[in-house]
Amino acid sequence: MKHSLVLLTFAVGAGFLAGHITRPDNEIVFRAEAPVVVGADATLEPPKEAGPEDGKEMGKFLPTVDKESALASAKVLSANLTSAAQLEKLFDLLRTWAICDPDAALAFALENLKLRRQEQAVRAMLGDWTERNPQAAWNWATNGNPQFVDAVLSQLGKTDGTKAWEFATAYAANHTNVARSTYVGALRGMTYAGDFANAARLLQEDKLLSAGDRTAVASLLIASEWGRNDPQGAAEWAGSLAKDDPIRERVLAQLGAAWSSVNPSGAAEFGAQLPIGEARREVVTRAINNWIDRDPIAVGEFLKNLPSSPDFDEAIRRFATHPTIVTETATAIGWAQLITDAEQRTQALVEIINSWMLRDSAAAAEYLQNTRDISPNLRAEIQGRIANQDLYSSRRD
Amino acid sequence: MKPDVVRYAGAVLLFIVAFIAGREFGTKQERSVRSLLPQGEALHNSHGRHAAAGKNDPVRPFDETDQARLQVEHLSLQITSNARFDEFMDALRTWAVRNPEAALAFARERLNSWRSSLAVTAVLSDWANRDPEGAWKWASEKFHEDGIHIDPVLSEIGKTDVARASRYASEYAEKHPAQAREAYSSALRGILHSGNYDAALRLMDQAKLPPMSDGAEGKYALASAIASSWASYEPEKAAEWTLKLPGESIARDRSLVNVGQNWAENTPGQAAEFAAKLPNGLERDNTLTQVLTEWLRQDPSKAAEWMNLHQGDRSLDNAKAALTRNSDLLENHIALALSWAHSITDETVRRHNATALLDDWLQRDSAAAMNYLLHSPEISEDMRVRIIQSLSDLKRLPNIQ
Repeated sequence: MKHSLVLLTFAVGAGFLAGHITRPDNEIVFRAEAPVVVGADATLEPPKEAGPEDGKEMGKFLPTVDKESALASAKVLSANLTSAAQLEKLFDLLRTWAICDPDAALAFALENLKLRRQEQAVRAMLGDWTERNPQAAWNWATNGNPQFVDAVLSQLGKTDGTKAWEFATAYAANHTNVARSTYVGALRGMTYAGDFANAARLLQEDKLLSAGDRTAVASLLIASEWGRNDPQGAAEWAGSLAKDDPIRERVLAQLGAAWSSVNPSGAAEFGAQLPIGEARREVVTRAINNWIDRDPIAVGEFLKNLPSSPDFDEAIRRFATHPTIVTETATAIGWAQLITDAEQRTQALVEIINSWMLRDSAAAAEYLQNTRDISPNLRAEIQGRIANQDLYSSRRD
Repeated sequence: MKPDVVRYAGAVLLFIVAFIAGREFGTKQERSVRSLLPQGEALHNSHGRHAAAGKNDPVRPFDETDQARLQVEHLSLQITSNARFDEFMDALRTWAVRNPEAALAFARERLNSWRSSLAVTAVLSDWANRDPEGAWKWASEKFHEDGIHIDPVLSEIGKTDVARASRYASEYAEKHPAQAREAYSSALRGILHSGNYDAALRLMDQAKLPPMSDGAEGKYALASAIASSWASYEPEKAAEWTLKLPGESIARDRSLVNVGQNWAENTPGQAAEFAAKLPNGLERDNTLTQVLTEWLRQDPSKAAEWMNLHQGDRSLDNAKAALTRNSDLLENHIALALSWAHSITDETVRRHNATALLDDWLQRDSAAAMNYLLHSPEISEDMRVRIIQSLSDLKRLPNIQ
């Protein structure tokens, strides 16, 4: 009995222990504590070897490399770049090296890599450095490497938009010829992080950029990124811009374009609410273009509710001549008749009847001859254009 | 005897039960603690790369599939910036490690088309890296009608397992001839990434594709992709190979242009010398134009210097025309842009470019542009009359109409 008890207890104990030791999660626990090695020839060293400006990173198990061997490995790799995979290895090594000694790694890249590869490598290292020590990275860029100022600002803008803007403003004040690219750097980071409202406010308060640059930056960066990610918020901002603000029209149009790329029906609704003008025309037309292939029926429902306006002519023309509508000739012609601009209306009707002729030329010709849907003048105009097209095609053949 | 058997059988049974209990013990506790960590903390290495991205990565997912799904659901509702989208992607890829099919279904159905495509590609690449067979089965069997998802899988496999990628591409191409070219191209992308150019050439040689529009063998449709990648790293070898392609074929023409473009991205001066030494003809013109356009984009002054050394070369006309459209030149050095336009050999191209430049200048500074147009010795009298006529037809000359 006693023997059995010992045996059973041993079985339970040993089984439990064996199971616990071999459970898969243990692998995570042990390995998660090891430093991550990145780069072809990276070697593990204690964190104390890290460079002075990275002292605050000691607890993060940063990968480190021996500086001598990093230089030697980078030389070998850069002299034998025979594939994209090797280029990636070199970039990984440089980034690892830059953690310990950013100046040396960056100097290596500037000296040994050219053009696009140099730019890619330097920007990657600078991004990492800015994340760890923005002031040091900023000093490096502004002291002899101005072509990379925007790279630092872009990274800094991701985590501290206001500081990035301060850096950008100070720099742009003394380098007005590159003010735009400098601000773009800061704004790129801020918009990446979703700090749209702050970016818009800072841009609004800026006094250095020309009106043209401000419009370009506001529309191409803020409106398009904000519009794609948070269209309602962007719409509120755009709506709050003063009516006579020179950036307003471009911002609205760009916002509509960005919005329509992710949600064309929402963008169409937004566009339709805009005041009469170029932005309304552009936003609605673009939204319909993006929407129509996905759901032509819904587009028809939307267009039905719009008031008559030249702003919507292009959208209606696009709908009336869309492959799914144009085959329903009567419907398509009915839509085309809603186009307010005479030239666009005629052009749409020509397209519709041309399409019909390709399917049933006799029926199309008969319709054109006898219909009361269109005025005699318009009929003559359409017939003339179609005849000219025939002449053109036969000449071309 | 019998009680001994029972006793030992019982002990074995208890051992098994205890073993299972031992494997489970602590796991949930650790998981729940770990699930409080922000995703990025546990799953990123120092360069922000995702731990699930490679089969050798040291960290493995810790989350229950349900937890991962909930996390994905939650984050998908908060995508209000690219940073948030990146966070969402981390969660999605973590979930995909446990249940790639469910993660892919989510990415396909719940994201807008722009983000869906990014997410599906990332998840499929990870999956192909960890489990090439499983990923390939999903991509090739489930969506074989249009083959929309084979590219990330085949190109990922091609990076590490050339034989498998080649086999998958060939088998797929045979089954789905309409998508054969895409299949071969995808596998080639991965193979070329790893620098295995010989294997890429072998795959091209065995590719069964319909003849090209000029009658050349179908396999040559893959040549320009090989030429592009190869020329980025070994331009001389790529050029040598390209020159052996069938003469006067579309494939050779395209490949040469690609060699020029990619060579010029790294060493434009060498690329220009190569292109300039090609025999006179369309191939030379196209390649040289491509090289110089790329060089002008990167370093206009060096490119212009080189072009100055080759004055009178007719095939530089297109490159000169491209130079006159360089926005920096247009905005800040209009006189220089015009002098380039006047150096174009072909009279029609020269007049067209000079007119376009003056038209642009007139919009920005009509007084200076008119002064140049009426008095510059760079323009011959005959050319001056023609340009004035063209601009007048375009109603761009209000002062002399």
